[in-house]
Amino acid sequence: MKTMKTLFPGQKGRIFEISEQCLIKMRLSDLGFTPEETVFCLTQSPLGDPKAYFVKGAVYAVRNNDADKILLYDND
Amino acid sequence: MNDIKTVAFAGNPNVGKSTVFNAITGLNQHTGNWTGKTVETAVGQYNDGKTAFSCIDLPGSYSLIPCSAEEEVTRDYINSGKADIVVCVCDATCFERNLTLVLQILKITANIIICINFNEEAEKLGIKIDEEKLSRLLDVKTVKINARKKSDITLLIEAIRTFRKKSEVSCAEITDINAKAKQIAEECVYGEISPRSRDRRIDSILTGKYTAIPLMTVFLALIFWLTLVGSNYPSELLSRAFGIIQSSIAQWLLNSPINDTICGLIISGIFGTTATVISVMLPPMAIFFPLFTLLEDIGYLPRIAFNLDKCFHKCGSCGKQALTVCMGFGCNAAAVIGCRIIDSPRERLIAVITNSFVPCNGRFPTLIAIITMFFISDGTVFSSMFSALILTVIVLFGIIISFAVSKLLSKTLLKGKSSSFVLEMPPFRKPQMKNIIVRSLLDRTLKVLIRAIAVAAPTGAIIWLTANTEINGQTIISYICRFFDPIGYFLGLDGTVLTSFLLGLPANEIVMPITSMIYSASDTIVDIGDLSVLKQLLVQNGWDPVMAICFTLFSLLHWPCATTIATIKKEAGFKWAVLSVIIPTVIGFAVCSAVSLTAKIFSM
Repeated sequence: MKTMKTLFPGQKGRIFEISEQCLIKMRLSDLGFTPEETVFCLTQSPLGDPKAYFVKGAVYAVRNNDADKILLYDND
Repeated sequence: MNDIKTVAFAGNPNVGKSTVFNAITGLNQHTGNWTGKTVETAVGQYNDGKTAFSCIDLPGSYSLIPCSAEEEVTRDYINSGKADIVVCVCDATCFERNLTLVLQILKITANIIICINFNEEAEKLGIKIDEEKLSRLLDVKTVKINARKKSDITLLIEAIRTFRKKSEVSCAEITDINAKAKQIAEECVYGEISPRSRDRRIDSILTGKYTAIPLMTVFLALIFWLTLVGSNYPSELLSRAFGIIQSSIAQWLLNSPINDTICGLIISGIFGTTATVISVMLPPMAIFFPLFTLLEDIGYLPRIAFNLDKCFHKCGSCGKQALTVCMGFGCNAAAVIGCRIIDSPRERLIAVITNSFVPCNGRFPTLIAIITMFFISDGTVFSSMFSALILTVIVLFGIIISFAVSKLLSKTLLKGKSSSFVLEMPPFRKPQMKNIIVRSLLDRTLKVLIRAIAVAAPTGAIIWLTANTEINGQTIISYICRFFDPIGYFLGLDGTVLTSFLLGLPANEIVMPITSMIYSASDTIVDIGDLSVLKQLLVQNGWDPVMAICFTLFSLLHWPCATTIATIKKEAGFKWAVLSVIIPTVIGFAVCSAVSLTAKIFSM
C-alpha cells in the first residue's frame, strides 16, 4: 500500500489509516490525520526530510519515517 | 461587587489565544507563532464595572489527552474545576481540529464559551462558520471575533459578563470525538479548505532547496549587523550617563562620614560594575529581542526548525532544538527554559546541555570588539559588515560543535534514536509591531536585565575587594592571575584572561572589562569604549592575533554563566547542570590548546 511518505510536493492522497506501529498515532489523529481525510504535500525541507503536509486547514512538518506509517488509498 | 470569577483561556497553539488574553486583561504577556509557545501560564485581572474576573492563559494544547507537559497543565487545570468559565479560543481557518479540543473540554464542563478567531482571514479563504447553528448543536455560547480588532473584544467581554453557569455536563456521552467533530464541522462550516497559495509561494523560497540555507544565514548575519551597529551609540550614551551619576554619588558619599573603603566598594565596586553591565547589555538586547520576536510573530521560526530538522534528526535530537538555538543567541538561560517545547525528555536534555555553545548577547559585544580590533583595519560600513561575517563564521562553528556534542550525547549518556516529530507550520501573519516591542522588552529584555543586575552587584563587590586588598604589597587578584598563568599560557591565553572568565561567571559581559581592569592595574572594572585604546592595552600585555583567536574560541566554548547553570539545575537537575559545565569546558580546553600548539609549531 502507498504511504504518505511517497507524496511529493504538489501531490495529494487520501488517508486509509495510521499504522499501529506509529509512535505518534494519537498526536497525528488529534491534528487531523484521520481516515478518509485528504492530505496535500506542500513542500519538502531543503535536506529532503521532513516534508510539510496540509490537512484540514493547517500545515504540519512530518518526518519521512512517521509519514511512512500513514497509509493512503492506492487508487487516487 | 460580587465574588471574583475565574476565566480560563484554552485553545490550540497558534490560534491567537494569547492575543485575546492580552486584549482582555491589558496585561502584556508573550504571544507568538511559536508552536507551544505559552509554556508558562499567564494570569491577569479585569473587571467590567460589576464583577471582577481573574483570567488564566492556559498553554496551547491540541488535545486533553496529553502528549506534552503543557497539555498536562491544561488538562489538570480544566479537570480541577477551578474555572467558572472556560473560553475556548478557536481558529476559523482550521475549525474542525479546534472542535476536538472543544468537545474534550465539554465532556468535563458545560461552562464554556467558544470564541472563534481569524474570521476575516477565513472568509478571505472562502470559509464561513455558522456560529448560531454551532451554538444550537452544542448548547454552548459562541462568539465570532477578530482578536486584533478592539471592538470585537468587547463582544467577548459581553459574552463573559452575561454568562449563566450551568451544572449539567452535556456531552458526556460522546465516545468518538474525532467523528463527532467531523460531523459538527460538516454542518456548521461552509466552504472548502485548500492550501493557501500565498503561503506556498513564500514557503517555496524560505524552505526551497537552494534558497533556504543561504536565506537563513543572511537573516542571521543581518540581525547581528543591526544589533552590532544599532547598539554602539546607545551604549556609549548610557555609559556616559552612568558616569555622571557615579561622580555625583561619589561626591555625596565622600562628604559624608562614611569610611573611604566602603565608599570605594559602593561606588567603584557595586555601582561601577552594575552600570557597566547595564550599558553593555541593555542596547543589544533591546535590539535583538524585538527582532527575534518579529521573526517569531510572522511565523519564520518554525520554518527554521523545518529546514534544519534533518541535521538534528541525524544527531539524535529534534528539529525544535533549532528554535532554542535561535533563542540562545539572545540569552542561554532563557533558551534553557525554552527547551520545554521539546516533548521527549531525552531530546530536551540534549538541547539544554548543548545550548551554551550558542554565543549569547553577553558574549557578542566582546566577540565583536575582538574581531574589530584584531582582524579589521578601518571603521567604514564595509568593515562592520565584514566583522558581522566573521561573527557569523564563529557562530556557525559554535553550532557545529553543538551538533557534534548532541550526536555524542545521543550515542553515550543519552542513548536513543530521535523518533518522531510533528511541528505545525502556522500561516504567515502580519506582525503586531506594538505588541512585539512591548512584549519583547517587558518579557525578555527586562527579565534578563534584572537577573543580570542581581548577579552583577555582588560580583562587583567581590571584584573590587580582590583588586583592592593587598597582601605583601600585591593585590589578591594578581596572585590569582599568576596562579592561573601556566594553564592560561597552555590554552594560548594568560592567567589574567582565565581569571576574568572565572570572575565573569555571573555575566559574560564583564569578562573584557575585568581583563582591562587587571591589565591597567585599576581599582575598578573599566569598559574601554575606544577600541584603539583597548587594543593598545591588550597588545602591551602580550596579545597577538593567535591569542585573540584563542580568546574568541574560549569565549564560545567555556562554562555557561551562573544564571544559565542555575536555570539548568532547576529544569533538569543537579547532575545535568554539572555536566553542562564540564562538557563545554573540556571542549574549550581541547580546542584552545590545539590552536595555540599549532600556532607555536608553525611560528618555530
